[in-house]
Amino acid sequence: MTEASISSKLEMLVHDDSTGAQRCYLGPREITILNVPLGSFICVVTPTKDYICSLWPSKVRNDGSMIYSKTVCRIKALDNTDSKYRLKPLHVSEGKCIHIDVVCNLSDIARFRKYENLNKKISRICSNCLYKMCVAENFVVDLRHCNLASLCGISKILITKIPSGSLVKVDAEAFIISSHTEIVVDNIRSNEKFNQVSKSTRKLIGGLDDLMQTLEDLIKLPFHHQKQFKQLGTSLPHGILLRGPPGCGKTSLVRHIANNCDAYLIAVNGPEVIGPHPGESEDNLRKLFQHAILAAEEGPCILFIDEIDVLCPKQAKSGGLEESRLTSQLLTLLDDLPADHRLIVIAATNRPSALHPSLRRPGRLDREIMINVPSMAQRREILDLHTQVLPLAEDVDLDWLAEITNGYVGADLAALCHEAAYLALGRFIVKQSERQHIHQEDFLTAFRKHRPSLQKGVEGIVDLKPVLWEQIGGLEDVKQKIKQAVEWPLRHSEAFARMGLPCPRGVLLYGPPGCSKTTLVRAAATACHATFLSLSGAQLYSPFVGSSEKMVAEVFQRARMALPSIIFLDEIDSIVGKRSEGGHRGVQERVLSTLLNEMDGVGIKLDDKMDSQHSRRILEGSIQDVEQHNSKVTTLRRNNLDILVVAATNRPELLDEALTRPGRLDRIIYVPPPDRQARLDILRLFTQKMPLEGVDLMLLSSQTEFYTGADLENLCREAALNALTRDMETTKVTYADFVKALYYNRASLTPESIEKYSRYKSSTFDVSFKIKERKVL
Amino acid sequence: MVKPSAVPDNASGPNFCQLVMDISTNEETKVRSQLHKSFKAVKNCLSTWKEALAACQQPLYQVENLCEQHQCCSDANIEQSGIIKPFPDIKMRLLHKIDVELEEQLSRINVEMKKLDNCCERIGKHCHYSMKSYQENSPYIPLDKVLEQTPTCPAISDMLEWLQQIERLVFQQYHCKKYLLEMFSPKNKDGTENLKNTWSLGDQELINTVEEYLSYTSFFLEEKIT
Amino acid sequence: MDKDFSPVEIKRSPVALGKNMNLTGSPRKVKDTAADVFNTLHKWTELNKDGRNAINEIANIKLDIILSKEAAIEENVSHRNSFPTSLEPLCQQLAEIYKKMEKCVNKLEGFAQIMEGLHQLESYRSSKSEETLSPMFHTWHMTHFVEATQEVFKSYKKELSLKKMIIENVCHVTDRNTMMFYIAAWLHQPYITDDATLLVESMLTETGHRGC
Repeated sequence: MTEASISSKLEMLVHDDSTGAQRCYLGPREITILNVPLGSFICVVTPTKDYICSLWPSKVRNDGSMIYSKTVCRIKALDNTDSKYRLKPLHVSEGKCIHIDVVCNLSDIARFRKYENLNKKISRICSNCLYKMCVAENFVVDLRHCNLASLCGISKILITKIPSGSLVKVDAEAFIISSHTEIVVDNIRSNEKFNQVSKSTRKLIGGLDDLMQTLEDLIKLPFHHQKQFKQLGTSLPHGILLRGPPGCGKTSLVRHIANNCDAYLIAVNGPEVIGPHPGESEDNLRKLFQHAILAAEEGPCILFIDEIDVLCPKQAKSGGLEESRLTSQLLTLLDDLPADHRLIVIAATNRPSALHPSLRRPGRLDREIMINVPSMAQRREILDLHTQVLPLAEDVDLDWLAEITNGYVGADLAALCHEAAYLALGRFIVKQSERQHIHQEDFLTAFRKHRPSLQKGVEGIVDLKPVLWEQIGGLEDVKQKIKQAVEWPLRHSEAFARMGLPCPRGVLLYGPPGCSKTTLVRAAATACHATFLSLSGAQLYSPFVGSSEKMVAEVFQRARMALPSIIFLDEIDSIVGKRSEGGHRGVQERVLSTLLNEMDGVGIKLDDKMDSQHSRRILEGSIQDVEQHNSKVTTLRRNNLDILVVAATNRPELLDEALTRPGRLDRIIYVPPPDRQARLDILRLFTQKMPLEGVDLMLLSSQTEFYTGADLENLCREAALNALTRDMETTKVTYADFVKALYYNRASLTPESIEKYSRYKSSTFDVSFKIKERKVL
Repeated sequence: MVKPSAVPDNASGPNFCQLVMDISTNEETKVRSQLHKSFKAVKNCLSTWKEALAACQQPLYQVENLCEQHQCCSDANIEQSGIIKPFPDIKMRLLHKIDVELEEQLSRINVEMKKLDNCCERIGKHCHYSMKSYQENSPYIPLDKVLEQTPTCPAISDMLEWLQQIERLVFQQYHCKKYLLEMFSPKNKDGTENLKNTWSLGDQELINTVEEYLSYTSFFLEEKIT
Repeated sequence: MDKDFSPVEIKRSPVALGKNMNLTGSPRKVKDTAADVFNTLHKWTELNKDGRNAINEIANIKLDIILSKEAAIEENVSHRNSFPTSLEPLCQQLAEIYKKMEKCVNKLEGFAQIMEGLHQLESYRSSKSEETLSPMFHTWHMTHFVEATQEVFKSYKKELSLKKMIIENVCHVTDRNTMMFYIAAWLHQPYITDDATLLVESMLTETGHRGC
């Protein structure tokens, strides 16, 4: 028999025959080429799938088209792709025996299990369903249109094995099932799982290897070693609680593991369960668990409940009856899970503190696994994975990219790569270039566009306009100090570790207004790629008692999530005042105490802790040992993992002493008004783009004593405006313009105010600080 | 789709058909005569099938009714009413009576099922004969002869396909019914409530399809093929 | 064991005399009584059919009420009277049927007594003549007839008390399942066992009413 390549003109149409007959209709020309009698079985070979159909002439007898049914098909292995379309006549024989897997709905499986001599019954049903069909090994028979099969609830039949020697003819490639064919049902599989397996693509996740191993062990052990567990007399773990910020891969981790452990995954979102009618939510939950238990009878099953905090909130003071009923239902269901189950419940939340505590006691969700925001190394791994398929140009520096993407979770990084790819694509289309590469530039643009999802919806996150150190004129020694206080600990943590230096916890910048304190901080944040959160008094104060403190705590929590981070408290004197002696306790005091606690309290709330390494419980007596042993190992990381609080004020005398003691805002840096040289630098900066004519900046700088940076900026602007007022068409800014501007813009500082700051500077703690500083240098 | 019309063309009615027969080869005649026999058998079977189905209606109705009674009686909370005292065994007895009645009705249906089974077998055999006859002779019949159709005589290929289709439908339909009977239990509420509907699901479709095919072949069946 | 299966000597079996012979004496009486039993049962069956129709109608009315009640509970509206006047004639009809059925059962009791009497007569006669008791017709002894009629009477009596209970309660049913239960109980007559029916049939065959 000859094979016929399908000519390119041949139109392939899918025959949606409601009778489910496996036929294909061809034109007479093609039939002649194939040279087999009508009704014979042929194999339709397409690049991805093979189909077995019986051959019939098309109704309209037209050449060049084919209609075929997809009833019997085989998905080809990916590496075995044959891009040609072919029609191949098959050597067919009658088979004596085949092995099959039956795929049916979960609920029907439960029904089947009730039957006596189950396999015999099912094999007879299958025999009838497959009657006169032609199959071969690894083919799947879709029984959607078979009335009998749908009556019994069978949706597909997989031909798993045809024992050798069971064919009447030895060289047969496919065979027909008759009433004499013996059918052996190997497995009954659920539709759900079958679809899941056939759909699942191995999506890799990066940076979570050790975590994955832990989780996999937790799941695999009870699934595969039930006997040992019984011998040991331990009960199987019931549930696992995954916690961690959104987007860091909780869901994909579970999917991946389900795939790895060959477990059936039922994933549900907490809010999906909740229905509008009373009792509906509980009912949904019950059904969910029933479904899971049913599925677990077939094999390992993972019930994944995302955002479980919705279902099981801490008892609210308002006392939602609905919620408490749902909670108790969930607890009951967890408790009622059969002892020898193969079902594991994994719940995920990003607000573990909002969970009902009884859910987390042993016997329910007794294991907790924390997934953190990826560290730099993890980000690198994730980026590696995502860029694997992308054509990268040589200038792409993934290490650097991993460094700057602080606070980005896996999802963000994926989005970043996609964005970069889109940008590159846009460029190709415009340029029509052949070589398609994604350049570093694309990643950078994407990086600027994309904000990490962790920082979305958080109070205090600001869109930071990047400022380079060079853009700030003068203040060289202040810059140096700030670099040392802010940038060094974050960027050169290993050097700090080497020298046994603790990281500074806080920096206070003070000085007269307008001397670029804020800009300096901005520059520092730009330089070190830390998460930058800014809090101001206006954001903080709300009419509700307690909400200001809550916001402070929240900002700190967020900052911990996205370490390393800088929290910038501008105008700190307006946020927290001095604690008064006179017993008047205002909002400011409460905020102050919160702030002090957050910066240097006894500890942080365990649930808010975002460090994946479980802190060792400190036991009396053993404390030294553990600490010493650990310190060497972890300093490197720990140094890096801190929050730096940077505060700025122009009224340092108003601050509470507790705030400025070592361990809190211990670096106190005076940002002085610019001296002559600095003023010159500043003026140069601001006039860089101005067409000056006959302007002596040196002279100008000496004339502007007591002018702050902001004043100087204003001055330049005024001068330019003056020039324009003179003549709209002018292209020059002259010295006269500056003089005019000088006349109108007076210096905002006075010798007295400067004096005040210097007095403050020379007070006691500043001296001690200076000594300390010298040590560092 | 051009299907042979059931209405004969006046100008070239059976005569034209005869003409085709005349020039056909020996092999072709063999196949055609086998097909002729097969469709005759299908025609007979169809009427048997219809009769058997009709005969099932009454017992089916009874079965459905009895099942409802069975379920209601076993669900009835008679312990509360005073009835249980003088008649402690009434529920058991009643259910037994209903069961006996059910058995009787089911056996009536099974008698009809036997007839359906016979039809199934006959059609299956004829389908096999016809296919075999075609396959044996196919080397000697050119393809255009197999595909040739006239207003009164369908093409051989079409008839073979129809036969297969009929066989498939009949087989499925019979086994669906058989499955229903096998799985039948008055205790299973879902299964019994819709028994009659599930039972007759697809019946009309089957009959329509077979009648359609028979109407295409009606003139062919009137032919005498030697 | 042997004794059980030893051939029976039938000395004066009336059937042996020939089909067209008119029977006299006890056999005649037995045969007539058997026919009467059958006729009474036939009558009972007819009555049962009438009763079924009446009960069906009652059920329709009651189920309507039950349904509307359920709806009424949901809508919080006061429902209709549970005992509409249309029930009354039906109940009366049932009561009449019951009376007739009672008569039938009484008759059956009478037949059982007749049989018993005949049995005593026969045994008295046989004790006089010192003849061994032989089957009345083909195989049955007189005791069989007595037992059979007793059995039939007993089961119909039990059934009658059930009918009484049904008639008394059927109008007071509050849910569908119980209603269906009563209907089914009336229709299927659970206390008339297959044995009883078989006994009557056998009796008819034995006495020659049914050809064998």
